[in-house]
Amino acid sequence: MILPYLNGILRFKDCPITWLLFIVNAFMMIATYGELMVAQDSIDKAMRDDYFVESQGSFYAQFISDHKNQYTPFMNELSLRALSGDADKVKLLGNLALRNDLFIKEAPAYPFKGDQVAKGWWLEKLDELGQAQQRHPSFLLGVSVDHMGLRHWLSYQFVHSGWLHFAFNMIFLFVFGCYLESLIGGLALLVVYLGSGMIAAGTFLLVNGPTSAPLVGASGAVSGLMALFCFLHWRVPVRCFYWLFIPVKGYSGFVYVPAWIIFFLWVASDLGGHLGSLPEFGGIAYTAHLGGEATGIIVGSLMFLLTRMRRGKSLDKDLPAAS
Amino acid sequence: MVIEDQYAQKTTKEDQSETGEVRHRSSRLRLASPLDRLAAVIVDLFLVIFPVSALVGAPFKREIMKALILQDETEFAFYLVMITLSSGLVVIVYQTLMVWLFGGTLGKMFWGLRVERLWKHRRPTFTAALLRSVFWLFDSLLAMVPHLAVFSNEKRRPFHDRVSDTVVVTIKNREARSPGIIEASFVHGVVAAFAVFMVIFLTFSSFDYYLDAKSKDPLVSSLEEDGSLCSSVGEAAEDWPTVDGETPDRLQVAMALFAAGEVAKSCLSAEVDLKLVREGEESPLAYLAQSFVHADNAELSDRYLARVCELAPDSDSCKMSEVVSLWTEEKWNEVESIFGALDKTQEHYIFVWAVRHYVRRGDFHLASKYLEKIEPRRGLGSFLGMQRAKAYWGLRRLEESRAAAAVAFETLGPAERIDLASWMCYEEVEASCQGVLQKSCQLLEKAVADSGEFLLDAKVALSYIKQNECRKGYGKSYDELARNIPLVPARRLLFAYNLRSKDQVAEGRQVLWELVNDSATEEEFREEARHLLVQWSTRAEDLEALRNDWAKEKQNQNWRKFGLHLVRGYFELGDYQRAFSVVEILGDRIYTDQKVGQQAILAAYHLGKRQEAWGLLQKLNPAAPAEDQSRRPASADSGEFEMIAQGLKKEFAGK
Repeated sequence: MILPYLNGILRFKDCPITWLLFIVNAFMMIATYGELMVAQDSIDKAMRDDYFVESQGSFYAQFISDHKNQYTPFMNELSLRALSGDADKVKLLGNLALRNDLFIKEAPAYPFKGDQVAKGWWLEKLDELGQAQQRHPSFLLGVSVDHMGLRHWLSYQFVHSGWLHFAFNMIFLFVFGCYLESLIGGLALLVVYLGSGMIAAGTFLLVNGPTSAPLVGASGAVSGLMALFCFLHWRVPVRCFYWLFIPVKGYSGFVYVPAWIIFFLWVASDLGGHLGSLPEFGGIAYTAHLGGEATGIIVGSLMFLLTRMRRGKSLDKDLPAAS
Repeated sequence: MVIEDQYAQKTTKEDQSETGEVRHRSSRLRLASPLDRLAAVIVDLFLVIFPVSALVGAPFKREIMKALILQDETEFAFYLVMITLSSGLVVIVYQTLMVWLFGGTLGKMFWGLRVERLWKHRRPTFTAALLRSVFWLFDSLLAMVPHLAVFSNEKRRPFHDRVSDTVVVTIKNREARSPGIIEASFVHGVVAAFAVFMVIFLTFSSFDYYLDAKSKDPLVSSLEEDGSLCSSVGEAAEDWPTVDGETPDRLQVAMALFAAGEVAKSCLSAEVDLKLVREGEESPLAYLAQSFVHADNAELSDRYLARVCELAPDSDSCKMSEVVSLWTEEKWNEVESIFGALDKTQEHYIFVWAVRHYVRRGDFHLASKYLEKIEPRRGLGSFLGMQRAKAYWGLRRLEESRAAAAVAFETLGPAERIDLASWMCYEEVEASCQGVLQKSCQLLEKAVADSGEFLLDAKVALSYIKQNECRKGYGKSYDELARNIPLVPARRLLFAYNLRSKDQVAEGRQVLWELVNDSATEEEFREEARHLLVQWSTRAEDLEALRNDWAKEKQNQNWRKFGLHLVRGYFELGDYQRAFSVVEILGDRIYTDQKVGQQAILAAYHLGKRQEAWGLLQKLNPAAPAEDQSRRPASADSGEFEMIAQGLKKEFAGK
C-alpha cells in the first residue's frame, strides 16, 4: 500500500481554504447525518422486503421487454431470463430498477400485466420509498435525473453517503489541498476544487446519462486537485507513505516517488474500474473521477503555458521540490 | 522433474573459459534476503502488475461479470482464460523486459536486489529472463508454494531461478546467509504438508463429484437447472384426472398438493409466478394461491383474497377465498355451509381442504364423504392414507382405520409417518391402554428411540407421554422421560404426573393450572393440561374450586376452552345443574364444540328445562363437531342425544 503524504496536514493559517472546504464538508456531513440515516433505513427496509423487490423485478422485466430498444442487450437478456421464471434474475432486476429513471417515472400509469394485487402493493411501497428519497440528503443535494441544475453540480460535492466515504475524500483533500494551496494560492485552489467537481458531474451525466441514483461526494473535486498536483510535479519525487504488510521493521515508512507514478496509479484504477464495471449496476462513479482528473490536467496545462509565456521558463523548474 | 542446483554441486565455476569481456564471479554470492524479495514482489504487484492488469483486463472483467450473472458457463470460462492470459502476459512482459534490460524489476531495484546469471556478474540474457518470468508465473499460480524454496535452497533459488540459471543478489548490506538445516527442514515440511493436503482434497473432491453426479436423476437435474418449478408438481399433473377432456392446469395440481401438505410453499409460489409473471395472466385461482403463499402477511393475503372475488364473483375460487377468510375468523358454521355449496365442484384442491377441515373439526362423516370424491392420484397417496386412517377412527371403524394407517405407514415419509403414528397412538391409548400394543405406538416408540429429535414436536411428545403413562410399572419413570424430552412444557406436564403419582394431587393440579394459564406455552400442552385438570378433579369440591378460579379469569380463548372442559367434567360427574350453569355463562360460545353442545342440551333436558333445551338445539348446528378433535378421542355414542333431540323436535317444532 502506498499513499501520497507530501507535507501532511498543515495548520489552518497555512492552508485556510483547504480547511474551509473541510469544515463545509464536515458541517454538511454532520447536519445531514440524522436525516441520512432515517431515510436510508426506510430505503433499506423496503429493499429487504422480498415481495417488494420481486414484484418490482417482474414489472421491470416486463417494462424492459416492452422497451427493448431503450435498454442494453445485457438488460434485455436479464429481462428475458426473469420473464422465463428465473427467480434470481427477478430479484436482481428488482434491485436495479430504482436506478432506471424511465421505468420509475412511467411505472404508476403503466399497464403492467399479471398480478394486479402485487402491482397495487408495490406502487404503494414505491410511493413511500419516493417520499423517503425526498428526505434523503443524497437525493436532495446530489446530481440525479430530478436534480441536474448547476446548483446541484455544486451541492453534490459536499454530500457524502457515509463516514467512510467522507473520511477518504477528506484525507486526500488535506494531502493535495494543503500542498497546492501553498503553491497556487487559496482562491485558485477553490476555483480548481469547485471547477473539477462541476466538470466531474458534467462528465458523469455525459457518459452515464441521468440516473435516478444520485451522484454525491467530493471525489471528483479531489481527483482534480490530485491531477493538478501531479501535472505540476510531473517528475518531482514526492513523499509517500508505504506499508508492505510485512510486520518487520524496515518494511514501512516514507519513500519519494515521482508524481507521474501516483497519477498513473490513480488514473489506471479509475479507468480500469470504469471499463471493468457494468454501468447498470452503479457503484463508484469512475467517470466523475476521470472528469475531475481531466480538469486537473487541463488547468495544469493552462498554468504551464501561462507561466511559460510570462517567464519563458518551466513552472516545474521554479517550484520547490515536494518534501 | 527435478532441476538440480548445479551451483550446489560445483561450488565455483569462475575459472570456466569465457571471452575476456566476461566478468567472472570471483567473490562469494551476496544472497538477497527472502523478506526483501517478498517486499519487492509486493511493490511490483501494487505499483505495476495490479494496475496494469486491471486496465488491460477490464473489458474481460466486465464480460466475466455478465457471464456470471447470466450463468453462461462457456462465456465465463472463455473470459476467465482471457483475463488470466492478459494478466499473465503483463507479468511476463514486465518481468522479462525489466530483468533483461535493468537486471531487476522496480520492486527489486527499490530494495537493492538484482537478478544475475549464476556464473557471472551480469544481467541474464533475454531467453533466461523470459524463462525466469514464465516459471515465476507458473510458481505463483501454484499458490506461491514453490517460492518457498527461498527458505530451503542452499543459494535461495526457487524453481524459476534454477530453470533460468539465475540468482538474486543484493547490492546493499542486507545479504542473507544460506538457509540453516532447521529453516530448510521446516519449509520442506510445509511443502510436503501442502502437497499431501492437496492430494487428499482433490481425491475427496473428485469422489464427492462422482457420487453427486451418479445420484442425480437426469430429469430432476434438468428441471433443477431449468428453473424453480418443482418436479413433483409436473409428475403429479401427468397423472391427474382430466376435466371436460382437458388436461388440468399445473396450478390446480399444485394447489391440491399444497393443500395436502405434499409440496412446499415455494413450489406453489413458483407455479403462481409461471401464471402471473411468465404468462402475465390474471386468474382467480392464481390470486387464491397467492393468498396462501403470502399467508404470513395478513394484509397482503387479504388483498389477494378480495381480488379473487373481484375477478370472478361466482367462481369456486371465490367461494374458497371466503372459506379462508372465515377460517381466520373461526366462523365454522359459515365455512361448512360454503363447503356444502361447493359440493358439485370439480376442483380437487377444494376437496382436499374440505377433508382437512372436517378431520380437524372432528366431523369424520363429512371428511370421509370428501375423501371419496378425491380420486387416488400420484402425489396425494400419502395424504389420502393418513386422512382415511383418521376419518375411519373417528367413525369408530377402528380396524379399517388401523388397516389404512398400516398401508399409510409404508408409503409416508419419515416426518408424516411419525405425525400419523403419534396421532393414532394418542387415540389408541386414550381409548384403552391396550393401545400401546398397536403398531402406531410401536412405531412411535421405535422412532423416538432412533432419534430423540422427534420429541421436539409437541404432538409427538404428548403421545409419547400418554403411551408411557399406559405402561405403568413397565415404562420409563417420569424423571427419565423428562430427561429424554427437551420441551419445557412437556417436563412441566411430567412434573404434574410425578406429583400425582406421589399422592400430591393438589400440587399436581396447581402445576397444570399454571401451565393452562401460561400463554407462551404451545396450545397442545395447554389443551392437555385443561383436559387433565378436569379429569383429575374427581371430587365435586375440586371441580367447584376450579370453576371458581375459572370464573375470575379474563374471558378469552383460554377461558372459553376451559369452560368447555368444565361442562364436560360436570356432565360426566352427573352434576347437570352446575354443567348447565357453566353453559349459561359461556352462552353461544358452547357451539364451537358439538359434543359440549349436545351435553348442554342433555343437561337442560335432565333438569327439566325442555324449553331451554329446545332453544339450544335450534342453535346447535348438527354439523358442528367437537373442537380441537385432532387431539381428542372420537365422539362418544350420541344415541341418547339423538333420541332426546327427536323428542324435542316433535314437541316444539312448528310451535
